[in-house]
Amino acid sequence: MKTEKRKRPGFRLSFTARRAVAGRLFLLPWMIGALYFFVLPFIQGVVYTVNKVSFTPQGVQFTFVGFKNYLSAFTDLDFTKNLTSSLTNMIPQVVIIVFFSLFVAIILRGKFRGRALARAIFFLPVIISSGVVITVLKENVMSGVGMGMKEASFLFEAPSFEDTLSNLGLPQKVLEIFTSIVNQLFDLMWKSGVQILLLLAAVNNIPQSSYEVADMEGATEWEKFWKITFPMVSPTLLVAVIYSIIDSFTDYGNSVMRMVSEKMSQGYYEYSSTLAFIYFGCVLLIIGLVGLILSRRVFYASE
Amino acid sequence: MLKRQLNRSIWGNFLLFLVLAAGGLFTSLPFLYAISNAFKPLDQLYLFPPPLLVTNPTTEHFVQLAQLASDFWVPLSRYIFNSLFVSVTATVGHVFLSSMAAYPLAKDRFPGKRVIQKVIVMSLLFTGAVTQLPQYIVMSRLQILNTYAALILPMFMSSLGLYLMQNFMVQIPDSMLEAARIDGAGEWRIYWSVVMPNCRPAWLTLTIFAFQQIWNNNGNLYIYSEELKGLPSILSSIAAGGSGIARAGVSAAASLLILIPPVVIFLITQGSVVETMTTSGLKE
Repeated sequence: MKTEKRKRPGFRLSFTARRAVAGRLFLLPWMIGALYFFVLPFIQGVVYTVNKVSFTPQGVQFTFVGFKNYLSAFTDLDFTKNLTSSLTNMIPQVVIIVFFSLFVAIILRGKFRGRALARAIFFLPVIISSGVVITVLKENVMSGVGMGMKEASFLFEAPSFEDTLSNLGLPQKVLEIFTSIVNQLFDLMWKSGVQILLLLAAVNNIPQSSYEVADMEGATEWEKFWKITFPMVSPTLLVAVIYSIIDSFTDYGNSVMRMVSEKMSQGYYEYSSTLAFIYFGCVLLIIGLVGLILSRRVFYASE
Repeated sequence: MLKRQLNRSIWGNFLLFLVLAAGGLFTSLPFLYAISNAFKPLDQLYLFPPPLLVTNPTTEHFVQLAQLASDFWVPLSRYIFNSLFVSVTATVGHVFLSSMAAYPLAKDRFPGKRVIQKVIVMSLLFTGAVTQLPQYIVMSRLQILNTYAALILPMFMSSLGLYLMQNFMVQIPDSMLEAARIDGAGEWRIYWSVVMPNCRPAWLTLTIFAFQQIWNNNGNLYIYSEELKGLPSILSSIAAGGSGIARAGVSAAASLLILIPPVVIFLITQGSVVETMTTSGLKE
């Protein structure tokens, strides 16, 4: 669908060229900004990791130390422990978020009585979640002031539930994973906002005719889901997975992120950036791997 | 569409209703707590488990908040203005710039596109804590520290919107753009009169997301004049200052007040977000 633009001969060439220029102009403002607010800070961050940063009356002083910061990061038991735990926690989180969002997107799609209400109920909290309430709640939890503390333990922990399960004689490991998911369930539902929106748009873009064809052939709902809905939304599913991974890793509740900002506030700037860069290296690696594995299974409909 | 309606049985509808109701209730809990806490008398604030409903609502927290605010060195209205000004400008700029940049990324092919897309994903990763110090230095070089620009400009360039808009715009059929092109529309015209109206739900949603992100942004890092600070900075100083118990009610009241603008934004845009999501006009 996209290649045909390039094949046209003659005066259209200038047309293509014009489009290319227009495209770059559209991108330009963002690119200038990204240069200043992402690329430059990024490079600066890399510089920090191989230096010792000290603040003197003359300004910031750098002393080159090579890979010392990296070395101490990898020998820091706290860091390696946090790193592995946040990497392993990410997997069930992302799976749950993505499936939950797909589920919500699908039930919010069709026409049924009270759809508007259902959508409003789901959207109001989901959209607000990106903002104030959750911040206020978390801020209260973190600063330990006021009601947030108790609410949090009430909402996020569900202690009696855990006891019941352990009385049932479930193995401790399974129990731990299970309760951590239950504890996070709330958080996870709230984090699904963007993914639900992405998937809802994708689900709505599936041509109705393909379902009609499937109906004519006598397909069941189950078959229609796996043979039509799932493949058609799979590109968006990949986007949602990657977004969820990023979201889960950059969350302030994440143990590594907490450690990074802790070190930062204690004044270990170079160490904090080193931790962050190692962390993001790992995350990028995971995103790359996931992208590689999933993109083979993704179905791109060519129109 | 009609077919789908017929396919759903009564039991299916009932089950769906249950799932929706349970999910909806669950997700709206903190929201309800935020409201009820602001009206709870102090002794109820510390009950466990926290009661969802207030038995004898009180407005004392708001009165206290008003008293506290009158003691501020900078009038409360100034904080409100700062927050509103920064949030509105940054949101409009963010939505506009990122959708503009998203259009060629979603619909054009040009060299370097893959690289830019990788940079976007990477920059999504580098949030908050990590870039704070380098960003601070960049801002001080640009000499925008302690100005509104220090809060607004980074948001213009935040790549969240770009990432989202790009993924929404990919779904606009090429045939629609081709049609506009054949009718002689320029790229700007196509962007403004074809692409943007067609992804209205997308950018309205982005508006909500972006507004909340900035509204909650406590920009204390880049702003040190008190008269340039916004509401979240008061909230955090209320929450942090003083004895915890006495301030708990006030901070609950303040958080409820801070909640209002995003909710209003949501209520305004909600109709279109909820409705146009289905009928986004992309008929094949």
